[in-house]
Amino acid sequence: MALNLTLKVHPVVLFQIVDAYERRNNDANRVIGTLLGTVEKGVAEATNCFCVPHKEHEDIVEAELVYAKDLYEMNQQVNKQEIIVGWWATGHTVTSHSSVIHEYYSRECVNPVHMTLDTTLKRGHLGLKAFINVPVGVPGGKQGSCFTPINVEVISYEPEVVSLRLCQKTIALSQKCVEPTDDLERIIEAAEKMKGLIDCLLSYVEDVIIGKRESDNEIGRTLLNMVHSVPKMSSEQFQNMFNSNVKDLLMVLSLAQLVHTQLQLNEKLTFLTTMLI
Amino acid sequence: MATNSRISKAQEEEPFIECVQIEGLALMKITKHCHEECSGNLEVAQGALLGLIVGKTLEITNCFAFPKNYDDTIDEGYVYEFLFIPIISKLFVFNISLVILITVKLLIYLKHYIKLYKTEDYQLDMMRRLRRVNVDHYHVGWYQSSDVGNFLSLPLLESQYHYQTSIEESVVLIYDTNKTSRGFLTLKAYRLTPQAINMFKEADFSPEALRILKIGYETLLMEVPIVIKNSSLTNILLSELKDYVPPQEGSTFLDLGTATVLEGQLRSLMERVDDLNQEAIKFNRFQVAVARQTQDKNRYIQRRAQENALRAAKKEPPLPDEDFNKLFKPISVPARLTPMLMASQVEAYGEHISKFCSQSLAKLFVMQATKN
Repeated sequence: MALNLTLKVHPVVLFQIVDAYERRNNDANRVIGTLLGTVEKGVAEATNCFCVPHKEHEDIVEAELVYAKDLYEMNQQVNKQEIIVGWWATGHTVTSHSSVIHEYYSRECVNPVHMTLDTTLKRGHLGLKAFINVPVGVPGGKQGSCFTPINVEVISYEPEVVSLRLCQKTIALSQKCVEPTDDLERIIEAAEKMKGLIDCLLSYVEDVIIGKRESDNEIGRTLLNMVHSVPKMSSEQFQNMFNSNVKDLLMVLSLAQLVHTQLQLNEKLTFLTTMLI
Repeated sequence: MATNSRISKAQEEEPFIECVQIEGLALMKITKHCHEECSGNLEVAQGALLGLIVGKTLEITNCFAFPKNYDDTIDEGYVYEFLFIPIISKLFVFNISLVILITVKLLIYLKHYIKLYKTEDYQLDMMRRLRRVNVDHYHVGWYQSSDVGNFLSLPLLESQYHYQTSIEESVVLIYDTNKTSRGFLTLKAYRLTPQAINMFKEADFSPEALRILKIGYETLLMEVPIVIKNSSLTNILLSELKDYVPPQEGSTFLDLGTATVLEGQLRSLMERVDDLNQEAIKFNRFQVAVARQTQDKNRYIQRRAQENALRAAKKEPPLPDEDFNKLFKPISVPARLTPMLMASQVEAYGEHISKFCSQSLAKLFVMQATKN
């Protein structure tokens, strides 16, 4: 029961939880489900999850455990490495029903992690919290258990970050629709962003020189590092390297165009010959 | 009804689906699955898309993955067969070995069918369970991962054909793993054009049929534009994630290294072009053979006519008219499907390469600007 267990969550899990919450039945106030992933040296990494239908009454909780078991086995067919690492629930607190559910999950895996995502936006934002169960009580007396918070972080694979960045564009738009952008457009956007960042930096440096702002040694040192990290080469060398790269790319580009024209010609010619047969 | 269909064929057929709308959840799930399956190895990840159809937009709200070994159950069976044959041939009692061979064959085929049944079962099972948690269970298409655009193959077209005949509006989403890991999300939705569907229906891939249907390698698949849409709560989640995921990540697309990627792409392009060349040579050989055959035929007919004339002069009965087809068997036309597929493949590679070059050029110029 090491308390230095950290939970690392992938964005997919959070998306899934939000979606399950949006699709819940009319009478349900919260939704629960299983967290799947891997556990390694004090770090539990949740890479997937699924929703489990359940009903909460005054004293008892009914959850479809057969459903959970079946879905877990089906997921095993797709990805053998994902095992149950815990369970999730929406809401901003841990309720008494949670301990019952937690007990079930502690039978399924060693030291399950309980994660909550506050979809009700009680504190004005989607609170992401994680807990593990720690036995509490007087030795010899009645033992109880207590949900103790642990650290939770969001990590993702590189491609997931790419998808995420694209999805984040929908935040600002009113129709909430965005198209996957073309390669060139992304570079244009990045160049503009870089221009904005450089402007910001320049204004900061100027302010410090004038004396309007206090100089911060840390920032100064990072700026110096950044300027020094540009590889040193004479302008001639740079021009040579630049020109050769540009030439290579242009040649490949023209080759690709040639291939395209050739293909079209080939197509037309074969059709022509079929008319003669 | 007949006049309607004739009119609609005369004009451009109205596309069923004009736009594909995908939710962030489905996008993230596809990304995760394809990344986990295909990082490093050349396996293909496949899965089903679930959603609904609203007017002319196909909305994809969820998806799930197919287990591996979906399609290669067939090869497995035959491998086992070949393993057993030399073992059994060593048995000297002929009858018993025959019985064993037959039972082994039966077991293998049974296993193959059970596996097929299991995988279809998996799909239905999954959809039933997702329906319990109120997920849209209308099966609207499927997705597949690809490696720099080499997704075009006969199995893909056949699967899409089956999907489109059973569900009119289905699409296939192609997710490019390599390109996305380099920082550019590449997700494209394709549907078979109506001409392609007709071609598959008739299963006739000869050049005349293709000409009548007006299919070229460019009109096999049509691309449908994709839009990403997220619900309000998901947007809140995304703003939260902005704090969690630092902004430095996700900038690998600004990487300047181009040599390795370009090399790989050019190599695949060259291989494909070689294959296409072989097919073209085959077709040329066929044409030469047909020309030679018609020449031979004409010569034979002429000689026959001459002989008949001679015999008529000598007042002998003319030679019986033989069936020419038996003497000159018509040479079968090579199917044009494979070369067409290869041509589209080459075209796709070419497009990828030009896009890659253009964005690398842009990056180089930006670098030059910053240097100065």
